[in-house]
Amino acid sequence: MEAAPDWLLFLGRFHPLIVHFPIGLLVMGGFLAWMSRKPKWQGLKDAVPIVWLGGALFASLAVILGLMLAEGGGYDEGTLDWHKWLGIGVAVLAWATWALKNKPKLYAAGLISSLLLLLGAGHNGGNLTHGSDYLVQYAPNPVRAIAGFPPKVEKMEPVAWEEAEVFTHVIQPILKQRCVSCHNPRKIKGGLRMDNQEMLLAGGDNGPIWVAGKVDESEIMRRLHLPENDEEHMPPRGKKPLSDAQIETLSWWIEQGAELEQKVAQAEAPETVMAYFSSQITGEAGAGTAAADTKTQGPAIDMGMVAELSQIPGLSIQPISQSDALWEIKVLAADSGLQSLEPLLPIAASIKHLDLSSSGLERFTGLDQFTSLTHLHLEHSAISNDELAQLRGLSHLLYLNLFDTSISDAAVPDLQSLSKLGQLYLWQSQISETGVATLRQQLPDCEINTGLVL
Amino acid sequence: MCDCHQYEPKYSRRDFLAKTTMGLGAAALSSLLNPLGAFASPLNDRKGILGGPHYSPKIKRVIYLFQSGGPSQLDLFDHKPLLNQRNGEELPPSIRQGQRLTGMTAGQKSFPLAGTHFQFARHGQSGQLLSELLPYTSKIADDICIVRSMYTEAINHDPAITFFQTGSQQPGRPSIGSWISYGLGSDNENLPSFVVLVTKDKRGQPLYARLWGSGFLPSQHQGVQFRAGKDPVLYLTNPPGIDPEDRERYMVYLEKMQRMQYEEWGDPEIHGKIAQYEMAYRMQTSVPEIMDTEGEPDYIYDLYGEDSRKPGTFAANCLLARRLAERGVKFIQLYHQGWDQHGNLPNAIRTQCQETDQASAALVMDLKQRGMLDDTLVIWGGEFGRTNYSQGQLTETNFGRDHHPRCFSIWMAGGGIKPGFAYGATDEFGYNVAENGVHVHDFQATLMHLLGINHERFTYKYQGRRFRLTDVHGHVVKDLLA
Repeated sequence: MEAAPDWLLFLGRFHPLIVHFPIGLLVMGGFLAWMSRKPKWQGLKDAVPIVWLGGALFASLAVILGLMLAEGGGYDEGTLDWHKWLGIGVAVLAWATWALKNKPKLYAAGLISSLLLLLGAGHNGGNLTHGSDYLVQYAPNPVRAIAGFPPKVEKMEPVAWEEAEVFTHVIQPILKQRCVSCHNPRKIKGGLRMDNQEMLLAGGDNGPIWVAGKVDESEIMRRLHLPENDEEHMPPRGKKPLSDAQIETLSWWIEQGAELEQKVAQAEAPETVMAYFSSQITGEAGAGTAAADTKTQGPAIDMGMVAELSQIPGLSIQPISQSDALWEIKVLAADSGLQSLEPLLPIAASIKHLDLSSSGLERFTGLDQFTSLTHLHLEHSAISNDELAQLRGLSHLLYLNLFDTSISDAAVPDLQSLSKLGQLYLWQSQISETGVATLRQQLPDCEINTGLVL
Repeated sequence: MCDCHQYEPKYSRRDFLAKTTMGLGAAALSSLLNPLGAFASPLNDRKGILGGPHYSPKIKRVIYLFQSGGPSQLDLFDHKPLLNQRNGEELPPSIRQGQRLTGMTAGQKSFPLAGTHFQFARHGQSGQLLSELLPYTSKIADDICIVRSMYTEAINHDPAITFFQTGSQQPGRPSIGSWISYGLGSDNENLPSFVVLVTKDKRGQPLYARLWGSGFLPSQHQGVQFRAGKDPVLYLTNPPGIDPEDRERYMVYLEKMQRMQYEEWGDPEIHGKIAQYEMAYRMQTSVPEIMDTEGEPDYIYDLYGEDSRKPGTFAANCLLARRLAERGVKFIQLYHQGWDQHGNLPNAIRTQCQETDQASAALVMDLKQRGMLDDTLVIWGGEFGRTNYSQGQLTETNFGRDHHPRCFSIWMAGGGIKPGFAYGATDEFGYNVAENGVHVHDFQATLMHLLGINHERFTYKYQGRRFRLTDVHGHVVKDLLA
């Protein structure tokens, strides 16, 4: 089928604009006719023919424009047919009624039937634009039942992380939220249906919308990445765009081969994508406890405290990354404004990395409050065995650096309680060979480094 | 050090101005992270534009041991017995597949295959195959990841090294260190976040300051070269007769003038200047302190080798690199020239290895025992490889190798990289990549990824389009990641 010329499509788009005028005029005409039955408003009767003439004229114009718009395609054929013929019927009847204005009975019949057809045509027009369930989407179920719609489906059951599938539970919902409103059985923009897996894979007028494994050749990604005011950008302007996380997830999924069967738990994806998975499946943003790397949970940091602490010269407080809720603190130099750990204690539970190596601190009271800590740098510091005992409760600790400290064998029992420890640095500490041997035995998965020679 | 606090009140205005010149986006982001950023400690001057890596970084700093000239992978990392078996035979055209030659060998009538003169053996628990020229690197075999399938398009030094450093063969783009400084900021108030150390008195292919330049990024992100000798950083020390107090007063007045200039011109580079003057002032104290390695214990000098006592050698620079890393410098780039063995390869490469092997391995070990290897990335490599055929006459005792972009080797060690691992393979002739090729852009993308940066999202708009280190290429090589 030859594509319609641009001027046709251009004019056709004025149909939704123009069509509301005859609707107004014709209904107004009917209203005036009805009201003029009362003696008080008898005078209104004279206004009806001219209003009705206007309605008929503009209804005809609307029909012409409507036919042009239909050439653009993408509308559900059934509804379009009904709407078209009902609309033509409205225009024809409007003219006929106006012509019969001097025959009261026929006139009345004409008015009424025109308005009834108008109701039908208008409803279908609404369905064409917004979808057939537009009116009942938020209606209570009894109303839906009356209207002949199935009861509203409960929001998708939250699915367990182990069971979740990438396509069904992450990709498809994105498409449902952002694409299916225009790419469904009733409204098939671009000949593309995205509500059904087969049709989605088949693609639309321009073929399949992605090439598995090749993001660069995937039409859907091309359109998502276009600038928003480009006419080919999807979703079109005025519709809510996809979020960055959603675009990245789609891109990753296509790159991986667009698998329909892949499970989330087995997916190896970049952090932002994994974070998106978590937010969709567990419903918690950035929870990601099931994610591959060891994200510890911790309370969100108090930004007010951060602002206050940032005043201290020589103290660096930074988020670990844009996708990690926890932060890191580093003391930069011995002459920093930090005299003890006390000012840090209010936010201690939100800290994942703590570097006190250059701090010059004498006392380390409060270390036990850093419950989310995974990395602790105490090299070159004045930490004592007694204070090290505070680490016992730090169950998430993965890395501990005690190079060049006075920590000795007395600390071994405390160190061996750190069951998750992966890296322990003891070079130039006071721990003896026996102490190290004990630790190696008690912490078999921990790499213990006591200095190296070439 | 405490004298510097005099400058603190000024940071509030400077901070505010600096952030508004970089655009509302930067100000908004920094104020999100640091609501009182305009009045906070001097360190917040040093926050990178990204406001934090995109994802959890594996490393905080990079030490890049750049071997300028193109080390011969066939004599160091990539064992090709076939070349020894077929020593002297012509390179088959089916293998060469029309690869362009440099002007130096284009005139050659024959391309005789040249087998290596050196023995290869397996080392460590991982069984890494390394040549006898690298006895010390062999000792850290279980810590390094050797990539044998590197490839590039550039066939000559300048474009090739520019390609590695900036992502483009044509000059003008920022170097990796500048991108990192711009994106992630600095961890140290008193030192630049990008330092360059070039081995002194080496002959070889030239190196240019633009290799560590900032390109179109604000100029305070350029690499600063620390030289061996009396003046590590040129023009840093006060001229004779100028008191430190005089210098301070001069600086205050200079800053006033620069502000006036800014109000008139609105040029953001003025802030770059102010930042660099300020950094220079701090470096007057910090640089002599860091360059003075007298305090290092003997066993450290023994670890790095005798050369490390002589300022300006590669070994001394490796030791310095460790000290800089300890002080929070984010990107430390070393250059060692002389690997361009077009002739006299068997002798010359021995010398090169003697100069670099021990110190490179020592650096890795030293970082490891200090607990720093977990968040540092050490890279060892050049700009391309060398040919499997001889340049010039192939004799029993001597031959040369020409440039070879199609395959070469590098090694990496540190946070986020699989240790004791060898990635990628070349064909039996050591001419083409056989599997898992890693392009220069892929290497850069992976490097960015380890720092927690998504190389595709970290861009800078210049002359109407968005640039990034990897330009429009590069994939993170997931198989290299631990």
